[in-house]
Amino acid sequence: MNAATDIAIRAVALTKRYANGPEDKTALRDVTFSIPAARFWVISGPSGSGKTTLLGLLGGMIAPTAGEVHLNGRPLTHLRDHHRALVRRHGVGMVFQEFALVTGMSLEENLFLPFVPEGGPAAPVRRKAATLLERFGLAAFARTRVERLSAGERQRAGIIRALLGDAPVLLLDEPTASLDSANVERLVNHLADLRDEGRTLLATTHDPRLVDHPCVDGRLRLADGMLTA
Amino acid sequence: MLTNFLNLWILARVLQSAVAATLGVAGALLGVVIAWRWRSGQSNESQLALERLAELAAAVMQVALLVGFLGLALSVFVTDHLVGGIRGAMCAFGVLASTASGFTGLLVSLLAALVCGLWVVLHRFDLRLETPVLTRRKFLALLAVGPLMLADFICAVRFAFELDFNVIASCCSVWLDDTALNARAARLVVSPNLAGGIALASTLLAAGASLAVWHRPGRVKALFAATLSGLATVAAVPAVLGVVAPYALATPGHLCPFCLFQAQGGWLGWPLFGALLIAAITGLGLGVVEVHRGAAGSREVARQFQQELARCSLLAWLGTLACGGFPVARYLIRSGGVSVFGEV
Repeated sequence: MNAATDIAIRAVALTKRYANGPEDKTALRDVTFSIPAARFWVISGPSGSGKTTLLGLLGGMIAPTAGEVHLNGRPLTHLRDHHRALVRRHGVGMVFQEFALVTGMSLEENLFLPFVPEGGPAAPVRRKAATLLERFGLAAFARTRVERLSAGERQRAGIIRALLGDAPVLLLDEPTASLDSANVERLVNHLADLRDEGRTLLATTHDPRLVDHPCVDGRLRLADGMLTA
Repeated sequence: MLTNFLNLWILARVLQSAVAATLGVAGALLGVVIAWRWRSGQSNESQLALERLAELAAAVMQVALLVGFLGLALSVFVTDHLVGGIRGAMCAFGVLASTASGFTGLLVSLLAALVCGLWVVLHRFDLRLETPVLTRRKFLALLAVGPLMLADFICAVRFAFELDFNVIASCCSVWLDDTALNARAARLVVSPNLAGGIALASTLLAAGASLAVWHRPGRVKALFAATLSGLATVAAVPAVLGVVAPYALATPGHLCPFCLFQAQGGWLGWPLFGALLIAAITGLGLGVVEVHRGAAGSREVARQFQQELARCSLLAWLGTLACGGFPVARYLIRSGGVSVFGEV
């Protein structure tokens, strides 16, 4: 890796304003930071501080009002929607707070859902899914409907889905929000393993069990849309 | 006459050109704003807002320009439809000739359709690129397209005002029959052997150049194919007059291209001129893409897009050739090899 790509996530003067009636609401203001590749960082802050907005901007799901986002050295800000969609599909994995799993479908069907626009999962993706299900201890639930899974199992299912696209960057929104301490420990160990394999992880949280965990390499703190640490 | 606007077909044509002109002029005005405020590569608030506005406006402009493009077909269809109301007119030629601005309007519609088509080619190329690097150029081009669409609207309104259903018009044979073409130069231009030979050769060359670009795009090939497409388009006109029309109408001296849009010409004008216009736009589009390739910055995207354009151009040229050759072949088969001009 050269110096430019050693930085996996870079935000430069990132600002996001939402139209809110006659007045605009500034969710993020002039946020600048860099996260090196193959590190596990967390962003903490109270509810409404702009954590999820920041994650959405870094993942290319929403467009900034001003500023730039670079993922693995590639600028996202000026990308057209369909090119940004390709980055979302292949360059970054997203794990949502509410898991974003479709009830009524099996775990396996949920995992393969992102591949529908490409004509369904190819054989290597199916093989990789089987390996990941085994690794995360969910192989026995592959054909189980997702509403029958526990919160911890759904969280791990969300991670497997994010990993299936071979994304080098993983963004996690409040990954420990609905987990007990044993499951938090188990999840963080899984995330640390992924970091050790070379993936860059960034998680938003206001859970001190995650913020203060020794596996975490770096910490950012957001308050009122601005970085304070 | 104001009452002419009560005719639904005239009204449709005027409304179509009004919509296209309004959006075209709005696009041109936005082009001025973009030319003034565009700061490529910057990520400040005004630039990002402008980029989003430009993306939205370009999507609307694409529809507007397709509407403008269809204006040419509507123009021909409406004038052809009005034949029954103008005494003496046997085809669209008579209707157009009965007004002072008829042919000017048709020429403006043709130019507008060609320019709209080329703008859509540039727009589709720009959309293939990751970032909007060609957007400024694209909107600057609207400064030329907008006025042309406005001129098309003015011509359409003027034509509707000038149209007089009480006038006795001259039919196309008064102007376009072989005997009417007294000038030696005009007779030479539409002489079957010369016009047909040049058109056949230039069409085959344009198709061959498109095939070469489809096979392996390159700067020289693309510019050559664009030039040949332009020449073949010009060369096709006298061939339609001098060869296709006489064979399609089975009358050696009748050279009217407008009669080809009627039942007597087997409605051949629609596929023939449609294919010719598409061939011209996609062929010339190869040159448009080549001119902007450097600014686009992506050789591979330009290459892929040129291959697609070249494939369309090749098919359209072959379609033009098939449409033009069909009446000739049909006549020769039916007559046992005797030419419509009386030669074996």
